[in-house]
Amino acid sequence: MIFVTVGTQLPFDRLVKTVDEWASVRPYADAFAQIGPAKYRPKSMPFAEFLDADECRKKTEQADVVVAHAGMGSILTALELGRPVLVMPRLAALGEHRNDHQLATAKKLLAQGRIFVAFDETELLEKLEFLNKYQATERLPVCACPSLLSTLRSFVNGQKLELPLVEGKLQVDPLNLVDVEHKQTKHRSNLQPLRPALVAISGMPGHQADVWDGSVGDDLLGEPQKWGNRGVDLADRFDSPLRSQAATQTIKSRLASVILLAGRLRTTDLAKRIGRSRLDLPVDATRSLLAHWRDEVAQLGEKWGCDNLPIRVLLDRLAPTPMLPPVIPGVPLSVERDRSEYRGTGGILRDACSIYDDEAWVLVANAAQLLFEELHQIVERLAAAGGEINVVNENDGIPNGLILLKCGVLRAISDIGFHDMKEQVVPAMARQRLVKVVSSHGVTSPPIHSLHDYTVALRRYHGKNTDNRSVAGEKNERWQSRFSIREKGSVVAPSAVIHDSVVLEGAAVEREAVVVRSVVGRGARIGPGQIVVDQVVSGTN
Amino acid sequence: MENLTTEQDPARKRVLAVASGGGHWVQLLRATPAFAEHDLAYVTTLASYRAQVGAARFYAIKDASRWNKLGLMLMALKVLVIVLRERPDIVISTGAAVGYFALRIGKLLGAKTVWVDSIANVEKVSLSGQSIGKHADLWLTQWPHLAQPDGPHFCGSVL
Repeated sequence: MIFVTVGTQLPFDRLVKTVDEWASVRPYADAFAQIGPAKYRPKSMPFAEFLDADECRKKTEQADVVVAHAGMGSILTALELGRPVLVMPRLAALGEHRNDHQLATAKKLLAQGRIFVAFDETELLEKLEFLNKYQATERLPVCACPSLLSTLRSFVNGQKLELPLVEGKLQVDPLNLVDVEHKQTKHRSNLQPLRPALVAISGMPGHQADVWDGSVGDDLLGEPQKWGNRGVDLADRFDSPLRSQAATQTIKSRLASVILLAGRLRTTDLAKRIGRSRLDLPVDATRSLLAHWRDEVAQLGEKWGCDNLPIRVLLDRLAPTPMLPPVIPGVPLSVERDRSEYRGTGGILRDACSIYDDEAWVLVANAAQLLFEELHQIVERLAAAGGEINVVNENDGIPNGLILLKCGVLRAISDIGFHDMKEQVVPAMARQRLVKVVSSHGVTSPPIHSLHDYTVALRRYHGKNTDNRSVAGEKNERWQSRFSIREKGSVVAPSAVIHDSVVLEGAAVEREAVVVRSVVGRGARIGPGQIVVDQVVSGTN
Repeated sequence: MENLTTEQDPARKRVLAVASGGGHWVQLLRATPAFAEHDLAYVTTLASYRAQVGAARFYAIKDASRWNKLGLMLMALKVLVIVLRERPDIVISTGAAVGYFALRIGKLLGAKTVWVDSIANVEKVSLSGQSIGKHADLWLTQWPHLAQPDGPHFCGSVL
């Protein structure tokens, strides 16, 4: 059942009428509307002008989804009862309320991932079609957040209050990240004074930074990812080594954190089958992908003289939570979940960086990638490029997801809508901001989605650690195994062959079994003599 | 009429919790668990809310907004009567006209006052909040970006 409610004070015919007309052509729709002191009478659904508080709660509880104006009464009631709520804000311009506070509330709560929003009737109609996708959520606790309650309690009891001081920007958590597992919550202050320049620039010969004028942004629809390398032009001519050096120094002193984007745009079969986050996939005998990033960031911090360089892993609302590897001193690791409807990496980054100063820098990367070159080397090149946004293009012209940027540039990203950082935001910004592209050759693996991506990335990763010449010689010879990862807690018989494969904790491979380019998951058993090629074997199949 | 309750148990305070109907009320109910061990009375603008407050004393008065001057005066008068009868130690409100009067009158009669600005005020503090804020002993906003050094302060929200 859909419960439509507009509160008791004012009519909201635009909402009621849209749902009513939608229901008239959707005979299966089962809706009930509370319409307030309204002129418009619904024809396709039962309704009441007013419901008292109890009836209203009852209707909300019976409903699968609540469609409401963006009034806090309706929203809070729905959240308290764990019902998904889709709101359309009243607009002052249409005489629906005295001001546009509902619009502001809707945007804020949308950004917090608490509600769904349709900003107009068209969007409402679109979203009504997908109401069955909205799932009941956890009920909001029946009382306010503990810090508010304890403040009020102390006040009543006449205790001295410790009110937070407001100084410039508040250090708050804009995403309202409920699942935050902060090993250390304090992010590195970006207000440190510049350190004296004493490090010589380690410019990479042969790597030229290109200025990208954003013109590719115009043909986004055509070929969104091809950014094409522009020849060396204007800004590069001004880029003396000294200037690059200064840019690098600035960034070194102001690098606030490394942000790993780990949302999943699509479910990957690999992750589903192994029942864990892709970030927990082993890259070698002892380390997961996330631990690999931790080590790379630790090394970057060490080379750059950062005492504290946090890694923030940002998950979207659906991604599984990765296991946290042991933390290295100076590299606090936090996993934060953005609970909003998927709205693109642009919006997520903007919110994640709103705690930093405009002049602070962050390094952004796709967590589901393996690095083939040491991170600090890549970042040195990015920093020396001297733009406000510096990106790495692979030689085929496709950005690989590594972005070194100044937080100030993120402020321009709009609150609403879907903005992909790589494909929309950066191209659009190139018109006003200095975006530099560093060309590179295979410094990262492609994003690991499938088993194939994973095994190919691991082959390359483990290849680089062995003798380079022999690797070059047998480049395509897949019969030569490069890795054979047995996670702690797996059982592998000595006579079994693990060829370019990974055996996860809780899996068993028995004698004389042969596992090729495969992942054996928890609970799975490869029987004696069995041969498995190019497969994800999970415990249930 | 001496305030016996307070004398019997000095730790137990008389709290008057005030909000107009709708969202303000729902927010108020989420905040009042903070006063569980105190003596609570509610004032709102919809009589049907009585069922939600259990054994607590409950007053419903007719709502009015700043466009209805006569209604406002009547409301102020009724609030005055209630405050005189309740003699609260604390007056707390989450909003709108009725809360404004309760805080002003409560303050005049010696109560400590708390204004929790509605969570719906995202871009700026509400009108009644702006005018009452300086008269409240504790002035809170539910959005960190609206906090100011001299209040409103941010100490969390009803969410």
